[in-house]
Amino acid sequence: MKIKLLLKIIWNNLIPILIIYFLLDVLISILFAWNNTIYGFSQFGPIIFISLIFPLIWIFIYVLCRKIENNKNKIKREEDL
Amino acid sequence: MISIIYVARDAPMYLGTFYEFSSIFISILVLIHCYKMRGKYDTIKIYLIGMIYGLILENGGPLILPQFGFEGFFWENNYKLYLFEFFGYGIRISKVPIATHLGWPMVFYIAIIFWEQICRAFPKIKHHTIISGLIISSSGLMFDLPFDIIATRFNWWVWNENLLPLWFGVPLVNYLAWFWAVFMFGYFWTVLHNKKEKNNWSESKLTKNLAIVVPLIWILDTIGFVLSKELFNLFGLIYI
Repeated sequence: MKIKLLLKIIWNNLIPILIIYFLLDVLISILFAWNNTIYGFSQFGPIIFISLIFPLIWIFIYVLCRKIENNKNKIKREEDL
Repeated sequence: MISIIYVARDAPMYLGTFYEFSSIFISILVLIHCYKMRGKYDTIKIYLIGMIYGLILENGGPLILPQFGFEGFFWENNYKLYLFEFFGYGIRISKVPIATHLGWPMVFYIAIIFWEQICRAFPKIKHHTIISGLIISSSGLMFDLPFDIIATRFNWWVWNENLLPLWFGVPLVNYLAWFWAVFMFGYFWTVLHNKKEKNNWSESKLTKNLAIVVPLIWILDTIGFVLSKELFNLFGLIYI
């Protein structure tokens, strides 16, 4: 039952979860290539920072707007009552 | 931030097969999500019209027509699945792998969901078509800014050696192309959806109209890209 509920939550929030997946995918790929002489990264700090910051901005804006929407709906419901 | 040594056009990929098959799997998952959550017409708009639009644009990247000044911007030569070449068998009619083709509608879907969430919080934005186009485009860029660094490092695509590798090895033309492609699609998406609301169009009519304007979107996108490329070239930011 709990697994079913969890899957439902994941399905209903698939897009922000995918953004987190892409973020992790990029970071794991960087870690795999860490010591590879051909594909290795010479500018680790900035690249990891960029890989984190842009998906996090996306998620931050998305979650913030969802909270604003929920607050607006809550106020509307209270007014209607 | 210039940091990369250019490699051969058919240089071996690192984690390329993982990228290719995981990308196809996620695209199909998002396609099912789109169909289940939004129905037939939105799936056609995003996954069929969006993919055809992306297919034409993406094939402009590897195009080499010296007589018209096209030297090719990038190449994706080492994948397993192309249209219609599978594991080396068949005829390759598109120089871009299926994984990349399927990536376009996925980016559009993610960008449109992002814009719709912002519009639900701030409904007035929906009627500002240029701001809406910029929001949709910004979502595409936020996805691509980190991703292309990895893709370039791992030879998932190889850039023309004459392009200046401005952003951690990725040429500026990549982001200009992304900006115009997603902005124009997003702009026409919002224009047509606003018209639908105003004129009470059916979903079917809206879908047909979006399909009809695809050539116009493509032309405007190309004009915007070429002009901005030439503008940045004046400042020495495009070619080495």
